[in-house]
Amino acid sequence: MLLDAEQLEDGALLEAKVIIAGGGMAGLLLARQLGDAGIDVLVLESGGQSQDARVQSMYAGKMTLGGPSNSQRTMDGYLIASRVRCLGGSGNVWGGKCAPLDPLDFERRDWIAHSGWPLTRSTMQPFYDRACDVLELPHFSVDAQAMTGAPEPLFASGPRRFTARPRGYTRCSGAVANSTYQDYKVAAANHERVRIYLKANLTRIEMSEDGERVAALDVRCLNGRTHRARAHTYILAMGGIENARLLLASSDVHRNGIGNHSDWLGRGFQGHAVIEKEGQTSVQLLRNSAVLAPFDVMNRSKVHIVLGASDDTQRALRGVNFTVTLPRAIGAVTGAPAAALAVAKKLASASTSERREAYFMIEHTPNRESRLSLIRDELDELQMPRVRLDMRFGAAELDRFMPTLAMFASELGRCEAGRVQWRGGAEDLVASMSLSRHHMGATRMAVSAKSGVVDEHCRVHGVQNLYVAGSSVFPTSGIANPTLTLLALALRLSDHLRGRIST
Amino acid sequence: MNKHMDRRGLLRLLAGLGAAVVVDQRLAFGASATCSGVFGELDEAAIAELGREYLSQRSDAAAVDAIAKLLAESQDEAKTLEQLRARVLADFTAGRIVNLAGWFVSETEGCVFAALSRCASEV
Repeated sequence: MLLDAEQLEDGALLEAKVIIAGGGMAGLLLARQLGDAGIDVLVLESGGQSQDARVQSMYAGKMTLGGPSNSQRTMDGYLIASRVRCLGGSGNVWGGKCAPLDPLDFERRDWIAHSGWPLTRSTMQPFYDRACDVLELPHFSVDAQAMTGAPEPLFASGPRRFTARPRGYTRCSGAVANSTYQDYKVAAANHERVRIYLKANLTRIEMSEDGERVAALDVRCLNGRTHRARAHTYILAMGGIENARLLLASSDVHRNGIGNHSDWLGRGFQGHAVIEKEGQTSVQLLRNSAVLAPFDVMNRSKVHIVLGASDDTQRALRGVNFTVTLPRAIGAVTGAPAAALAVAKKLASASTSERREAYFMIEHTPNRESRLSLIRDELDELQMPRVRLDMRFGAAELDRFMPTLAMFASELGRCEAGRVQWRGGAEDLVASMSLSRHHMGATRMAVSAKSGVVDEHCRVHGVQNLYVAGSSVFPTSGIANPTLTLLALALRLSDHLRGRIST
Repeated sequence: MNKHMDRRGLLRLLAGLGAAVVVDQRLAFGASATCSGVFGELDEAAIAELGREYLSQRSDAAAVDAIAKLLAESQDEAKTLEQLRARVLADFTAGRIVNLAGWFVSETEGCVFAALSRCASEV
């Protein structure tokens, strides 16, 4: 049932067994799952059924992007442009690309500080499979890097230093042709156990006096009315930035914010950055482009190839995730590069060749200096402190970019498959970055409150009835698009709660 | 000289000019100053640019000399190409690469450009 919080009489009390804050992809899936178990669910969604500039302006804040020896960039607009505050959340503008995290992404890597999940890829596999079912995608095998049975003609021999990285594309996303995302929203809204209040903004989590339970939520509407919401269990599913913002802002009992036992709340923020220079980032294949077909494993409407450093390569280089994406063919080079490629072509006895546009991605590792914080003296229309995001890439990834790219270039050359175009060093990577809408890590998962905000069941450490859903719980982020993983975690959380909440 | 150089043109010009005029001390080498057209028609200015860039990054003239000698003494283009190809593959396998004009190429390719640009300089 879709309801409008602005139409409630001022001071209303909303109650349910479970309250989910946020009606995005994770929140709506959780609502359906819990509703299927006979649990009454209340979803509090800040926005309406479509985007509204006034509502969206609540996302405004300050942001910088930087890294060691790189010039810092101011990117305030990113905070508004990279997310959507209405029913369906950022799923409304999502392109539908799906991939699981790799086994190594879940492991502790002794060369990467703060790496490792309290979960393994094997533990997650059944939930990944179910998330794929929700999105109507084929399942990804545990060892998706292997592409069992598929030829890999680009790297035909020798060690498998780089492999194809399968990506799936779902229609259950707002920004694709023939989208089924409206059905996804309607399925939650029409569920007999689910009530969705639109235009219901959370402004505070009220804790019990002992600080161990959530007592209620403060709800505020843009028409000035305020309400209270009370439940047995609360789930924050407001997105990778807002989850941390509300926990930080709710500081009347826990002075540093709820779940902030070790000063990790807001820290370890990660994003996925595309690295490219217009017209200067490409791969010249020394083969007919037909050799790419096996890499186009999910057969999207256009060929979209992702090649990545294997887990073995990352271990060998003590490096991080690195991918090269080859979206489309582009025009041939001229001048000196053309002469260089003519020589390469002759040496490889290549009768045909094709230049592909390319972009690189490198994993953003957990970094305490990459953080969200509150600007206490700048409030939005709901009197919530605005957010400040200082997104920092570290030497752990920036210094590994060039060695990994060089290995990729060497592998292409060794297999007579092509040459790579890129000029620059670690010092101009930040300037070459464009950021995706992926916001991860600000309420990181860890076994202990000493090193994270939520436990392996996404429960906030030290709070018995408060959970967090979404990519903010990712301790590391790999390079895979986060939606499949956050949906898998939502399914796992719903299973966990089903056994603990009486109907 | 024409914008493009090929084997025949180069040999004709080199034969006509006789002794080479070495314009860059780094390009000096012991072997006879000639090169091969095993790569077919190439943009002379582009090759010169690549050669200069390679030499600006590398000071090992002996490696360039070796490639120049290989090209100069080539009697069988296919065999020469195969020898170069083997070196290129060995370079990539060992990660011996260099970035020229924004592209990662093998050290051997860099030497090829330097050797070919030497011809252009001399002519």
